[in-house]
Amino acid sequence: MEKDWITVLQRKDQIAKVLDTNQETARFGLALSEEEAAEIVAARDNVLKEQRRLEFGPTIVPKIIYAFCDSAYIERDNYADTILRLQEMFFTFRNETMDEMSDDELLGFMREQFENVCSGDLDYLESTVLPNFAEVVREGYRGYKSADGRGAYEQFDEVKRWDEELYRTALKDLVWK
Amino acid sequence: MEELAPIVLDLARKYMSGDSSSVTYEAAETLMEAVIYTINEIEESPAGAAVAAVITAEEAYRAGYARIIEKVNQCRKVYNEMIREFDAYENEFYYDTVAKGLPAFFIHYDARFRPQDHLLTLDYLTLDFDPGLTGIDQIEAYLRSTVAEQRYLRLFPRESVIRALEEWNRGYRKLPVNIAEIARERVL
Repeated sequence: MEKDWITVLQRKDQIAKVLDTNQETARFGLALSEEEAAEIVAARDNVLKEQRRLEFGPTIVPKIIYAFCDSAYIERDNYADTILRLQEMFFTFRNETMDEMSDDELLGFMREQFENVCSGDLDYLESTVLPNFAEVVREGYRGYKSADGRGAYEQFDEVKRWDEELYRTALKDLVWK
Repeated sequence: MEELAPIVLDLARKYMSGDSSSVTYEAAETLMEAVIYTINEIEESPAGAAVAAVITAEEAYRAGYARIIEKVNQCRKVYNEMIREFDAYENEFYYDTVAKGLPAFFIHYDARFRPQDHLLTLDYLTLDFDPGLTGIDQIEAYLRSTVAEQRYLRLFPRESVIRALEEWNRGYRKLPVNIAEIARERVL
């Protein structure tokens, strides 16, 4: 009985901490309802169990929210679902990178790729970018350490995203021909 | 077990050193094993049971940790004295385990987060080797046996020991055999 009470109180505390983030995210037009915050905290418990991890101290959720709330690809309509997916990816790829990346490095990396390479596509982040990068981290790459996970993906990206020469040729064709 | 939770939690925070908010089950289990091993150091000491009955788990953990550090220092001292005159009698396993393995243990042993792990495979088995021992307790027992074996072997002329080993098996240099046992059987 006593343990149940402790669990209930801990969960309430975590929900309150998630709801606290509304004060900061309001300026980006984002807010979570109490129901959504509860859903995120419940999902956190499930993903931790699935990934066989234990979280000590405050939950990572507020950090995820603060890292992503100013994204151009998150709106009120997809906000709660996006945080749910990002939370799941975060714990999955903590394991996939064998804990070599710190919380901040992994979040920094996820945020940068979500905004740039993925253009807000969570499926692409989850199925391509994160697995590719996790593989090189497992193989021993540590170049991301100096910049908290930022600016690290380009060299491992299998897709050529910007060809300046091609751009200039096309521009010349359009303007001068 | 519940009273160990705050100690494991505190150890986990130190282990994560602010880099992470979560650990794998395996890492948490290793930390729990570390706490139990450390507390056992007090419970298994001469006055252990009596002391452990009157102190809290946290106090027992702190005292256990101090005892582990003391044992490591004592073992290092014993090793440094022993290695000066150590003779492997040209056996590779004996040499690698004692002259290369043990110094590596003193460099890499993690008394705080993995005190239960003695890191070495200890391929050269001493006569009274106890596979049930772990961590610094295993190294302490191993060193005690090694010192005793070396003292025993020095009772015989070195050439007699080498000859006895060669008579036993000309390839003894590359075999994981106990030198003292063969010397006892063949030299006496």
